[in-house]
Amino acid sequence: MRRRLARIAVRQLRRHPWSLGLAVLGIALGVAVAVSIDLANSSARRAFGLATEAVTGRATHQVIGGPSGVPDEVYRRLRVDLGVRPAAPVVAGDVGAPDHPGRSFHVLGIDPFVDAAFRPYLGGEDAGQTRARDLLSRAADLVARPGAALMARSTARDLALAPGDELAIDVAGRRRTLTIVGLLEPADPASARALDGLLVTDVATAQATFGAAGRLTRIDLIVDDDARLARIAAALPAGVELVAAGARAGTTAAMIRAFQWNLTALSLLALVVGMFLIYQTMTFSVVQRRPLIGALRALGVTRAEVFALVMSEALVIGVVGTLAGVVLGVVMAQGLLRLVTRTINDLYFVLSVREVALDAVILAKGGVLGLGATVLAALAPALEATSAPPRVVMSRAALETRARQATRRATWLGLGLFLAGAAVLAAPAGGIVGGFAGLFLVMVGCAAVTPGAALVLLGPLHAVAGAAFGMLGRLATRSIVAALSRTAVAMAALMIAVSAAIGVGVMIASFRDAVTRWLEGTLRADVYVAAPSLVGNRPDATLDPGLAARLAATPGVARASTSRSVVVPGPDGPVHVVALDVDPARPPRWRFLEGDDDGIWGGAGDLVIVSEPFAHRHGTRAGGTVRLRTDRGERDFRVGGVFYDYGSSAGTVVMSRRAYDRAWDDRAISSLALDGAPGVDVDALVAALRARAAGGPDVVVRSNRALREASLEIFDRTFAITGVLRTLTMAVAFVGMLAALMALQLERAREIGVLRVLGLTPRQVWGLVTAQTGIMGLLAGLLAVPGGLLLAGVLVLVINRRSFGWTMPIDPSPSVLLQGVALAVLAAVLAGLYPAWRMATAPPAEGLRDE
Amino acid sequence: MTPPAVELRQVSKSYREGDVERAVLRDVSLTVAAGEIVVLLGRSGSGKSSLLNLIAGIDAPTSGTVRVHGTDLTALDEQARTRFRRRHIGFVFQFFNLIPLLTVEENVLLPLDLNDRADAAGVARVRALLDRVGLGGRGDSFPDRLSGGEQQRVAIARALIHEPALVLADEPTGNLDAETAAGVLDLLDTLAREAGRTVVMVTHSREVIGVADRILSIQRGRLVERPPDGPADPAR
Repeated sequence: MRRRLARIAVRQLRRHPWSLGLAVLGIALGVAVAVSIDLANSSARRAFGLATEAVTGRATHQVIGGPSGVPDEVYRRLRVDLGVRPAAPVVAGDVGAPDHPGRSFHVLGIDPFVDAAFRPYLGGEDAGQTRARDLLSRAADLVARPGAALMARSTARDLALAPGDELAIDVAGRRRTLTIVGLLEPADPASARALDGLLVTDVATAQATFGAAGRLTRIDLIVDDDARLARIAAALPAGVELVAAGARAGTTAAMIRAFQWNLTALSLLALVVGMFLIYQTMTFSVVQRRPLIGALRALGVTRAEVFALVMSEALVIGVVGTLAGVVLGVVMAQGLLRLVTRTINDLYFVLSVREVALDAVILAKGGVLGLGATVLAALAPALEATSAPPRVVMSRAALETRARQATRRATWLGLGLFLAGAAVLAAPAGGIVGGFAGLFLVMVGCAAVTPGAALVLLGPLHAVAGAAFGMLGRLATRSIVAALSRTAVAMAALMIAVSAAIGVGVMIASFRDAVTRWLEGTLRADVYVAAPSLVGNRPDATLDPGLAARLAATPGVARASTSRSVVVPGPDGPVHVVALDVDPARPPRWRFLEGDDDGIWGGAGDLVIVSEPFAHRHGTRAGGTVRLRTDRGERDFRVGGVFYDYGSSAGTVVMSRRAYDRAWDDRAISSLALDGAPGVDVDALVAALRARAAGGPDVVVRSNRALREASLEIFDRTFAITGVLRTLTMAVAFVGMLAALMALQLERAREIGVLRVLGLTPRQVWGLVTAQTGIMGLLAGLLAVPGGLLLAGVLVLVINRRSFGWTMPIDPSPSVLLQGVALAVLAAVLAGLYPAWRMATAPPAEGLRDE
Repeated sequence: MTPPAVELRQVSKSYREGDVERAVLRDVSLTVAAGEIVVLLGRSGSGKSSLLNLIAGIDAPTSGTVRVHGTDLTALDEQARTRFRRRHIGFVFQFFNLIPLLTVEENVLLPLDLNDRADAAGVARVRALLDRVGLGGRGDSFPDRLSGGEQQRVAIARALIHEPALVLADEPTGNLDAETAAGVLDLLDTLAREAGRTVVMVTHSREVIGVADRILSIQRGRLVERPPDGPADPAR
């Protein structure tokens, strides 16, 4: 660009610092939200991947068993009789660290002499001789000393532990102690992260730790020969199977990915709102300079040069905003990572991530996203600028006439986008991505329809404002129409943000309502007892049978029933099975999507019911079958019904304890449900049970109410991050509104000056501007109600179903809708406070000065 | 005894431009009797508009006092000055400055509305006045549909509708061709004299001089009184 023209661009930006500042802030916030969610997601995903890799290592296949694992005899047979090598036994599980609150470890029990081929970071085939000798002596240490463990040097440093120190661990409520006999020194930072949170022990120590004498969690194999694999599979006893490594992790990863997709989509919304802001800033800058651009064209500046002038200004905003956004995103990612990890821990997997992994690709992606959004948003105003013919200055009125024509076109475009969005949403093969693509089209359609719909709504509002506030009221509504090129964009941005608030709010309220009802139906006993669990919603630990019997015999207990929650292999991956010991006379009151639980609780026949997410994931219907790998071999269970369930997005198969006991040898119980005798105080019963359990392993004794509250607490925690994203999107929309009003303030200086000369007091000016912003907020809020309901509908009926497999009735509670409208008005009025104050206090002579 | 319509005592006004203080008016004193039409001449940037702004209470002097019908505007706060202006002063601008969002009738009704007099009688008066200025059929039009001369006639109606004691006109013909300007000036002169309004008009055009009772000019920030038949503007 020519130097003089560049100077014009620089001075334009410098002359309107607030406009520049707000646009930079808007794009920075948009980019920051997208980058931070991306970073937090990828850090969590990476930690998950590393954690999985750390324990799976280089194994190609795994031999796994049912709930009680694989008998260690199987390992002997594979290695000795079949000569399968390399093969490595593994006993693994999660434990807590009572002396280090908030930390958990994955105990990996291995045979250090055969494990090197699988997990080289523990041995290292390329290690030098000295190192190899060290490793050998360390392996000997692990095997020779019961309770010996290795941990990463970085973890030991964090916990201030040294070789020889003891580490207390909590295994399903029992306290045990391991001795750190050596430190693992990862070769690179990635391995360091993989080893963080890992305790490596000998198989025997792990078996002792988890009370699994004679059992292995799995056997890792490296086999690439199909014939050999078939031979191995054939040699395995019933209830033990050969699976590809990572299949189990793959299912969990898919669920975590669905959760993260939802976060990413929500974060992109903030960027879309940020784009409105750039568009608005650049349009303002172009409209304001039409005379200048006309004069430049008359002087011989080409269309291309004008285009470059406007785009270069936009790029300055884009570059500064994007850089600031990326930096802000990295800072915000730390906070969001905590929320993401907490939810993953609550719902899916024990994950310990403390650090955001700065990924250059994500930062670059944020940069491209920010600059791309800027260029896209500035394109229309830049093209508009090039269309200014030399010396012809388009009047503001003509421009607004064009804006009104554009409104009609936008309305048609919006309706077209609605239809396109509906078509994409209806496509059954769309998956989660298709769901969000459809949702995006629908939301952009809503934004495009906003100006037209606002004009329609302004009709009655104009009459009301006129009747209530006379001419000033009419002036307030007319000024919105008169400056449509300005106000429409701000209203559309606010409408999108408030729609998101309403849509997500209705979705959460509907969801919470469904979960509350579900809990009421599911939790019917007075008191529940379980072993402490590391994953919030999954009782993976077992309860000591003696203790269970003792607790059931506590005075005041009228009835006791048990449940067993296990993960068993199925043909399509692991399946969560719950076995309930239910009195057939008092069956649980679950709501069924189809079929029912008739005849299940008696325990006759292989009858089960499955949860909705399970049915969705596996295409199971009532009357169909579910195939499960039992200790007696593969067996088909008949599905009696599909019930509503929000406990696990992986899905659950529920059967009677008697049916479970017939198929599996596992006799453990996971939790105990107790009913108090009539007249017994539940709190007193809880206290009595706790007193009885004291001295033994830790157990969690909770009243029905406490358990319900704890479940809802997890629910609310899951959606905490959604709340944060909603707030950030609103912040961007607020900035957009502020920028629009500041631009209007500049344009209306003369009009306000005249009104002041005619006798309007500063307070009346303030009232006029505030009324105008309030009406804009009200319009955006009113339009956000259908927009939000549409969004909620798509989230509940399409996104939630495709991501998690559950459905629920939509509950458009009026309070959420009213809150949305109030939020829009409040945001607009707050955004208008400063511009209104500036307009009210500006000396009238200033506004008239350029005469 | 009736106080003078306008009374300026040793009024000075200066503006700060960076580190420099630029004096626009120096020790200006002026008395305008009720019903008088005074024309203020001066070249661009001489301070004419600044003086008008001080009389209207839009701006405050650096020193000195400004009284309009006995009320000391310099002693009033912003709110009180605005209320005074709303009630007692009418304004005509060079660029008409009609509110584009209000119809012609609403523009003229606005001062009555601000004074809580926009009742049926008020509306009738607005229509009568629009008839007088020759725009009887244009009440529902928006200003951008009117020619410059028509817009200025609406502005004159707006300046007079609430029967202000003082009408201030800042270059009222500055943006009109000679023929239209003469018509507008004639209208202002007639309407103001009929109702006995005091008018202070700022201009640098010769045509305006014909309607003046008194002519003043501003030279180097000071006010100089000149007879009506004197040279139009020695500064030009």
